Amino acid sequence: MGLHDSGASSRFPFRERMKVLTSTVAERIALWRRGPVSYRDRSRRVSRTFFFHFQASRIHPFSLTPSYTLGLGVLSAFMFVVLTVTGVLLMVYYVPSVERAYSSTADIMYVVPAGRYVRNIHRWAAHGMVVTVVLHMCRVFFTGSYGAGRGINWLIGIGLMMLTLLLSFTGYLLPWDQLSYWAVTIGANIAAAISDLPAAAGFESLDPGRALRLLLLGSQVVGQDALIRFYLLHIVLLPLLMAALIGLHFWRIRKDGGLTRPRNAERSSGVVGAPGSQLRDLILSWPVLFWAEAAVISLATAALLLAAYALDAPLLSIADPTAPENPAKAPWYFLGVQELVSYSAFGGGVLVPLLLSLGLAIIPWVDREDRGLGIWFSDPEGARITVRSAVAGMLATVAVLGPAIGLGTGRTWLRAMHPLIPLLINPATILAAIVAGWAGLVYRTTRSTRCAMLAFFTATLIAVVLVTAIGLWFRGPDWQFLLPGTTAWNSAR
Amino acid sequence: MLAAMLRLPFPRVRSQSDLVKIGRAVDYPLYRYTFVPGSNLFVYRDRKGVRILSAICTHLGCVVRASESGFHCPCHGSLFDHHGDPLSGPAGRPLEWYHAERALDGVLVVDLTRRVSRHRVLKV
Repeated sequence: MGLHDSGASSRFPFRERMKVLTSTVAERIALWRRGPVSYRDRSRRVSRTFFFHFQASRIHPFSLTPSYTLGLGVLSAFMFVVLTVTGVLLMVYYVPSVERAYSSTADIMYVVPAGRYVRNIHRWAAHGMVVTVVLHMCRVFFTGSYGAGRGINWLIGIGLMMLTLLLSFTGYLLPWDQLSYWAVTIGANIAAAISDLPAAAGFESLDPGRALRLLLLGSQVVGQDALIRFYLLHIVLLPLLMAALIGLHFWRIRKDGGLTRPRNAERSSGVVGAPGSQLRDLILSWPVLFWAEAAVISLATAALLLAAYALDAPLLSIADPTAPENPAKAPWYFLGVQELVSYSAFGGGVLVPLLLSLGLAIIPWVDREDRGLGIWFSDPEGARITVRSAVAGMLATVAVLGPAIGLGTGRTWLRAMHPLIPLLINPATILAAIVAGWAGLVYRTTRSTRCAMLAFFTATLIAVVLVTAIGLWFRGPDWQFLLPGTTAWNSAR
Repeated sequence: MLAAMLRLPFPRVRSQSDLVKIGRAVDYPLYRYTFVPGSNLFVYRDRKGVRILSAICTHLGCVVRASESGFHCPCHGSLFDHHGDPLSGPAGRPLEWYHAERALDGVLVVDLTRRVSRHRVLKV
């Protein structure tokens, strides 16, 4: 009788024992579980697997309608994951010092194996995330999904959009090239332009903008202190906040009863809100939801890999603090703000963005009608108002910016007035006032807050798109108005 | 403790020097604005002496360049006249004039913390 003939071994041969051991380990770390067949197993697979339990184990079949969600929420979260992974890879070589930031970025582009590819993916995923996050907000707005008690999650979403933009902004100082340096110089001075208001009102000593710029840059100019602060924000603080808010966002979706859906999608029309009555409508998430998500993620991955293969992320010459590029253009998603600050730093860079954020944030509390919840544009009237508001937004933008561009933003005659007047009355604020007036007009004629919000959101969206387009395609050297193609300048950034 | 944590990111000492040495006055040509390499300053020299003009746009901090019509900002299109007063574009305030002194070795030292009137001339 040797060791091999012990009782345990004869009942469990070695291979069987290994099988039990590996499957137990897999179960413990909850990466993957095999072969659920029964409803109970399918439900437990979701609730007991770490990566799946972010999702509910049961969902309403309407939530799987591709034309309803467009997969934009999943896409945005996926972009964040891609950015985290590629960002960590870039940190292997990147050095956040003024002496080495540019050369280490150039090394990543030209020397590091696959460095260019990883940096390209990081850049295009960042751009992609701005697009998907904004489109996701549009989807949620136009389907009325901020309603039915989802106000808090709408607010969290606004916070996530701001974090996305802040992450982009902090990210582009890091390569320390001409684009980085001047974009951040301008951005920090927009923050300092908060003080234009107290200064114009005669309170010169009240200077919150200067303190804010000092907090951001650690100095009065963009240098080593600014670089290390932006690095810290970009790789630690903002991503942590983002991850926490994403978790909160997902959790609220479930606490709010899943995605919104039209009332006629509820099959058990009996007692709405009674938990038992709705449970019958739900289907198990496993496996359909995960197949749908896998499809969206696969497509996004393919698009990112192709983009990273075909297009290189720009790296201009090393930052020169004595000579900005001409024109010095921010990345495309900030060109709307750059266009507006070219009329007024305070109006376009501080006041209108603040009013716009505030306007977006209060939408769920202004409109509590839940009209046409879960239906694109609510109903035919809503769709009509959306189309009209798009036209109105377009006309207002052209009517305000046209004369401003044509006449120039000369201050010679304006300077004779009180300094508060050009701060508060400039193309950016006039445009905001027209959009607000349009929303008020729609409310007076329809007596519907949903219609008023459709008017506000649509007109704002169109104005933002148009102003961005002007900054992107119609501005040349010295920020002069030019028709596209009339001079050669680089608008690819 | 919380107050200490809030105070931490506001530096008490600046890493950049506020004093900039820009060479000898005689090296700058007469009756024109000369851009000082490496610092965002223009030196204007005439028979009375030198004056130091900031090249930082008062709108959002880009660097203006001297031209026939005055000073142009490439970032948002502000235009300043020959005295640094805003002519057109979004900039509302004139370019800053800085205080300068002559060190013992004859080198001009500009103090970026001291703003002066445009008529203030350092006699050389």
